[in-house]
Amino acid sequence: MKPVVVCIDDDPTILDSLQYELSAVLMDNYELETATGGEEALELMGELLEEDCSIALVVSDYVMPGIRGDEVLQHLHEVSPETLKIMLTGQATLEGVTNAVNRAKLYCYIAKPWQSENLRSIIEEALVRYDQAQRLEAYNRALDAALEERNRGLSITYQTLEITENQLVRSEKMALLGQLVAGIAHEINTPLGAIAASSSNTIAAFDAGYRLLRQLAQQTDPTVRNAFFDLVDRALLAGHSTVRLPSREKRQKRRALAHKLSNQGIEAAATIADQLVDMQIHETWAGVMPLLTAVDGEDWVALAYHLTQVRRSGQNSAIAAQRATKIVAALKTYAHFDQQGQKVSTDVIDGIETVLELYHNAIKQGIEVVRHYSQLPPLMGYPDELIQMWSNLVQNALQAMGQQGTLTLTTQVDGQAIRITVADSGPGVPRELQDRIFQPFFTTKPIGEGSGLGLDIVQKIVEKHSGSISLTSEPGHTVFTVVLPLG
Amino acid sequence: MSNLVILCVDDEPIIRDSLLQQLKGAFRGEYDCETAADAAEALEVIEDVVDEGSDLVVIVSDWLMPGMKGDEFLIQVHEKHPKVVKILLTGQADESAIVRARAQANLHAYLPKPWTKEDLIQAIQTGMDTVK
Repeated sequence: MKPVVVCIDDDPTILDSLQYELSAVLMDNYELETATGGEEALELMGELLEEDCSIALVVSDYVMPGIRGDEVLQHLHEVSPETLKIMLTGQATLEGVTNAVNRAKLYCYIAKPWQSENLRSIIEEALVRYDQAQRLEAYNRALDAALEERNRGLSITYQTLEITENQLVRSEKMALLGQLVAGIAHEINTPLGAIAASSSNTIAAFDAGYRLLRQLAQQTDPTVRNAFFDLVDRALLAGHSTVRLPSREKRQKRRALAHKLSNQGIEAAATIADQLVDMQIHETWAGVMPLLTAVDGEDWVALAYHLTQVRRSGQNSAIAAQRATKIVAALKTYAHFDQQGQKVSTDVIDGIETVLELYHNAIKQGIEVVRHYSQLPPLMGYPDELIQMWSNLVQNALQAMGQQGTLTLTTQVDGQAIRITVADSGPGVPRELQDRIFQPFFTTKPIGEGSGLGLDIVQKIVEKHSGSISLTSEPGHTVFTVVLPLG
Repeated sequence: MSNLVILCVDDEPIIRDSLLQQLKGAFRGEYDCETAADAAEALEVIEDVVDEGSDLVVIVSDWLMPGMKGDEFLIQVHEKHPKVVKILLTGQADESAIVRARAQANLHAYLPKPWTKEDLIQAIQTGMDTVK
């Protein structure tokens, strides 16, 4: 759109001659508009500006009916300061010109009658000036834009730097953690070793002592003796089970049993009922009656109770030590991934089967394991870490399914790689979490139940074998696919 | 006199087992010992104990359990049973949780895991002394 030059005069003949004078100067570069009064001029210029036309120059008379020239220019200046304003008049008051200069930044004052040559050169120069101003303006705008672009670039660089720094801090922390873990693992493993050994010693000493007791008790009344060993044997057997009665049920059994014992004339019925329920033989309490009716019957039951408690304590310590050992091992594996080892020829299916063996207890409760194995060539890899990987994947699958479900494992050769899938029939990973589950310390498990490191470890192991891992998940069918190159 | 009851709350069966053995060894005949695996079960046990006409005197609770955390649980119990001696026994707890439990549940003691039988028994006994 061409810039516009506007001429304002109440005398049509003046406008005509102005039009004639200017057409030579404007040529095809500018549009020329005219107005015969202030109101008309303001309306015209308002429309032009609204249409996004730029007004380069206004040549205005001073004395006109209605709004005076200086006022027109002043109004225009408010909405279009870049427009150059020329006053062309035969009679202007000093006040009018002053007004126009001060409030409308009047560019030039030309007296009527004008000299054609003079008018043309003034207009020409004004237009050059306007043009330069416009170009300068455009240049400034471009400069501003460039600066802004540059600033944006800088701020992105800054953000990137910040992220990198965070990553550095994190990897620094991980390295520190690695040193720390390596240090404390040894310190923790030593007492753990003692606990593990002591608990197994306790169990062994108990078993030996119990065998001896059986021999030494030969002189005891056979009825009492049989009832006693029967009680302990059954309590030990029950103690192997991990199933425990809910609190409320246990209390009800205890009360019911105390009542029954009391009816049988047993004095310390409450205490004995408590011990028998703890030994989990409340269902077969009648077998204990020969003991209870004997002399020192209460002591016999107490002895049985304490003996079973010794073995149970030993078992509990063993379980606790085992768990703590596993955690220390997992921490060590996690923190120590840079440790160099030699890749060795590994049977992947063997590794998976080892893991299934380890989780035998959890699996037998109600999980069906389906194996679709194709024979695999040996893989050059790190067998311990592969086992850890299968172990983490299987554990996740089992935890996802709870007590019931199907765990499906497949192996197959896929060109120069092997492909292993671990699938569970659990509720699935919500889509919005699928991207996050590989992040360290991300866990969906309740606080204290998962470290959030499992899948991060898996990913590290996969990377160490130059492989890849992916997840597809929908309710009832979640599959982790691990691809490991053979070469 | 009605039965006096100590309630142990922990989600770990081996911890409940160990606590029961320690407490029964120390307090058999003096206190009855009950256990619960989480706050929900514990509230159920408390209800039963009260219904039976027994007297709940001490709670030993873990902090980090599935469901309601220990501090929240003790605060809730405190509203109905302000006289019960409350002890937190835990491997990990927010400091703010302990502060909260002290302020709002009149927490008597905080014992970190692993604990010793002596510390536990002493905490219960000093707690009972303050109530008597």
